[in-house]
Amino acid sequence: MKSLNYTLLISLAVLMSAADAFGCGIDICHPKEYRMYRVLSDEYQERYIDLTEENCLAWQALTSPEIPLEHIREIVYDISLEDIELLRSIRNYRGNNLFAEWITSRNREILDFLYLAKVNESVRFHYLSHWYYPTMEIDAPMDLPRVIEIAEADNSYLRDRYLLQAIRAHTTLGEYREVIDLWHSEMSHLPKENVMRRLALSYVAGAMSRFDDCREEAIKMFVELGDISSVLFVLNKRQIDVDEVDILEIILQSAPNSPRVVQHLDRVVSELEYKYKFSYGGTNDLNENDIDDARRLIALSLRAAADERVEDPVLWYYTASMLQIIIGEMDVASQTLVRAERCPASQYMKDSIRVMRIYLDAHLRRYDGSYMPWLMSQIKWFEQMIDANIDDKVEERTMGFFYLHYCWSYYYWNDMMRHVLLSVVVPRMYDNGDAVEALQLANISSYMLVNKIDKTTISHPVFRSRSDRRRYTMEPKIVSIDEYRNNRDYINDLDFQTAFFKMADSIDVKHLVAYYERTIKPQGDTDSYLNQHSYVDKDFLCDIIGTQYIRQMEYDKAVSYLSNVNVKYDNCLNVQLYYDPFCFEQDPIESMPNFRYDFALRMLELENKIASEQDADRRAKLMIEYATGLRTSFGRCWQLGFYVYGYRVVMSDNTKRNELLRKEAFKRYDKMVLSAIDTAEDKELIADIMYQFSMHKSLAELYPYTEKGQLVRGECDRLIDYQGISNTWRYW
Amino acid sequence: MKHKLHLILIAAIAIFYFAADGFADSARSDGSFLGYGQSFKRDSTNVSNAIYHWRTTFNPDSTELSFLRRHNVKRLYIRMFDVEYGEDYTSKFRNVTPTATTKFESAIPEGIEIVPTVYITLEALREMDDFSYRYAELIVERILAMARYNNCGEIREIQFDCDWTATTRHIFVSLCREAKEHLQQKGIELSCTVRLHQLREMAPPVDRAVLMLYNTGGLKSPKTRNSILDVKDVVPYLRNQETYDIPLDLALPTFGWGVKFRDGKFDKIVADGASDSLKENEYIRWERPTIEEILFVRQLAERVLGQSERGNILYHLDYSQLSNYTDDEITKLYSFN
Repeated sequence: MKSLNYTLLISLAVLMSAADAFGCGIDICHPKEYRMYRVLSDEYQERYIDLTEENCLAWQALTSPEIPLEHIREIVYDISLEDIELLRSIRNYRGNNLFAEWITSRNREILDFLYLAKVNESVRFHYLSHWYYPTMEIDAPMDLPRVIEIAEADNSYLRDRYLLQAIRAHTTLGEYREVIDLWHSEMSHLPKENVMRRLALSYVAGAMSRFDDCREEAIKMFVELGDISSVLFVLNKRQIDVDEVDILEIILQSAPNSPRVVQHLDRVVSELEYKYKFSYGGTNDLNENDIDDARRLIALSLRAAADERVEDPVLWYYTASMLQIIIGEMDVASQTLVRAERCPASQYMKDSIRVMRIYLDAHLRRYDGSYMPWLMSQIKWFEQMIDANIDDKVEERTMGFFYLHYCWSYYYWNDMMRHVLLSVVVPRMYDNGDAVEALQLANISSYMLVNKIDKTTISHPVFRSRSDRRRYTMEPKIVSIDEYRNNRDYINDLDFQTAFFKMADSIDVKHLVAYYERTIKPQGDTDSYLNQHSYVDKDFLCDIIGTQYIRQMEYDKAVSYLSNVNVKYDNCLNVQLYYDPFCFEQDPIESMPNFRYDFALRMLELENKIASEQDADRRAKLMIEYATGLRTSFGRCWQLGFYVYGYRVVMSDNTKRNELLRKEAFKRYDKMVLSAIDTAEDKELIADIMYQFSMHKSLAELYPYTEKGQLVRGECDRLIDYQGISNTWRYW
Repeated sequence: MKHKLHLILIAAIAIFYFAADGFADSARSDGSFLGYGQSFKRDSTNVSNAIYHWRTTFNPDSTELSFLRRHNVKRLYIRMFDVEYGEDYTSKFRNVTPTATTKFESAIPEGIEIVPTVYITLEALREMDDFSYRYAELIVERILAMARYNNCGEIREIQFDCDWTATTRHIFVSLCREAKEHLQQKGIELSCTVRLHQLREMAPPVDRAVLMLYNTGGLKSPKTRNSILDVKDVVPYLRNQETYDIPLDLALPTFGWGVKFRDGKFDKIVADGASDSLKENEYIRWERPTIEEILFVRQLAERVLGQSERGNILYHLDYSQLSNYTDDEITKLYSFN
């Protein structure tokens, strides 16, 4: 009878699996840092705000159309004062720069001007330093007053350029009236499209804002520049209560195409976007004021887009669409985006619009047979963009893994692909019962870029000499990802912190099994493509599956999958076993490879032996060993069923599913121990078991004359009554 | 009465500490001490009264100018700027920068030597690690530029003030070494302040130092009796202290303030004499060391470290504070008797 009960008990243990508590609240990645709004290219900054390109074109017009703009840019912007001095000292330039050749051999007036401009720049740089103090010696050929003197004396065709230098120097010296005088006397009469006039405008506006009698004019200039911050500053100084949206409204009325408007939009919308948590059905940090601001901006954007004077309506429709997403009006955002898609746009804006379209469609598109094919074509487009724009910075940040694991924005194309897949598509697929597809996409979003770069950095010791191994320095070494994974000296920081792993480690194992089957038998080109850009290593997946089964106390299945794991895979893990799981006391051991497999195999053997063992006392001992293994695998030997950084240590994890598993394990453990006591016939054995589990009171009362009973009666100060074994604090 | 009892108690504590070590036996009547060394023997021809100026605007009023004249102050330590680690408005990155630069709205009184002083925060000091050569030059050049621009006269010494710790000492040492190299070429000396807790460390590589005998207690602790100066806070630092490696002057406090507490926790400092209306859960601890306390601590320090090498220094030039002491009391603080 007893053996039947035990068979049933073990069978129950084997058959029971934890409730699937995974639900739709997948906690894999909240890419709050991933900013979708993208309007301000570097080129825009340079061309429309710094006027770099326009200035170079103006120089080209003064010299020769044959001279490439890059040559002009190099001389005007990139070279140092020392280099200009060198150019002045030579008569026959022999380099490759055509602009340098022109100004040294054909037009030294330009060279003289550039020299003055570089001196001005160099001295102003020192003046602008926090450390500067008047009378401090600046190592420069002349001081600012001399620069001003030369600049104002010039009457050549370069007068407008010299005037700009004079204005800059006056500004640095705090001579604001002189700036205003120069403006009124000369600069303001230049044509509005004159590059020097436009460059001088911000200096003049700044100078005027310091004087009450010029403040109105300063505001007009700032409006013309689209410099919202300065307008706000001046108005607030006059204690006029306005905000950025109000100023934007004013600027749009008088300077609707001002380039700085784009800068401000970028900042304002990005701040709102940051507060909006882009998760599928997620919440956000927007307060009422933010939403109010967003609505006002939407209205303003749509008015601007409809304004015939506006040259870039695409910018405004795109902005309105972004804001509508932020306040949760996805359908409206999608319709607004259609209007942006119909406007003429630069390639930069077209790409930004496409990303937003993918995001909206991922949310709104009907989830049917066409969804996956559509999605795959978008992923392939993302891949093209990823391939085309990788640079050193992207490589460096990918190699460190940190940015990826914490979902910090660093590479727009990869960020957006992850953003769309992890925030929208994966949860949506899971909720629709397509867990395998969800896992596929979580995997590709975690590994596509990592696989492409396939590099990381480790520190390795470089010994001073072969004979002296005590003296070394740690130096960085670049290795491939596989080499990194197999390096025993390093914890695997990559594979156990990805979005894919977090999902795999917390999802119901049946989905993971189905996913694994799909990776070894891909069903078509889509699966092959996804496998190619993922990490689908057999050892990796079987280890996760086997570990999950250990967690679920299904040791037969654990053995089945863990037997597929290569013994050397142990190097790739981020855990190792420190204690003997079958020892009641905390007995340190040397971690063995395949410790999970060995543990699962032993638990399976115990299950079988318990079911078949006829001798009561031997069966009781087996049950105690089994119970100990069960308990330690959820305690000090957590590495058996969990990972570092995964949904691991039972005591501190917060997933419902693992909490249920833990409780179940403790319940089984209690039952097993009590059954062992009930099974055993030898009183000394029973007494030993009771003593081991601190059931001192029961021991003293029921088995007082056993060796342990006498010990307890003779030496225990207090008899600890049995209160539930799993709650007894021992070395778990 | 309560005040006198307090003094007796202080004296008893001091005697206990020093007598227990046989300290009294080591004191000599001639003013020099074992280990103090003849090289630091005070040259009475070079002794002068000095005072710190610590406000961000240099514009002493008539009462302060009169104070300087009456007490024959010949040396004025003027804080020129602080060196902090903060946001650079041009680059938006954090950087080591000068802040709180003193504005000179008055001329320097005639016949007074100026010692430009710079306060370096601990955070800034940490950031200077590996770059001390660069910051030493920047600080020195800026100080001298300020002194030139504001007609501070011939500069013979500059001073660094920094509350460095055991773990940041090496950075301060490096900074001083680099600065001294720049200054030596110009014939200028470098000094630094020393706080009581720094006494036990080896002196930084400067020409002389000033021991700050104030701010000795925990300002924010409600249990502190007087954070500006309390003998029982000072005594442990002087006990078993050997003489200092370099010439040392003593700086003494002539100021006071109120420390406001709310719900038993530090709230803020209030100006001495300010009439804040207090709520039930608030109180102010008024602190101002008495002349007796200051003199007592000075004597204790002198017994261990010797008298000031060039003269005592008061902190600081602010007549609203100095007016709490009589001329006689100020004279006593400056004197060596």
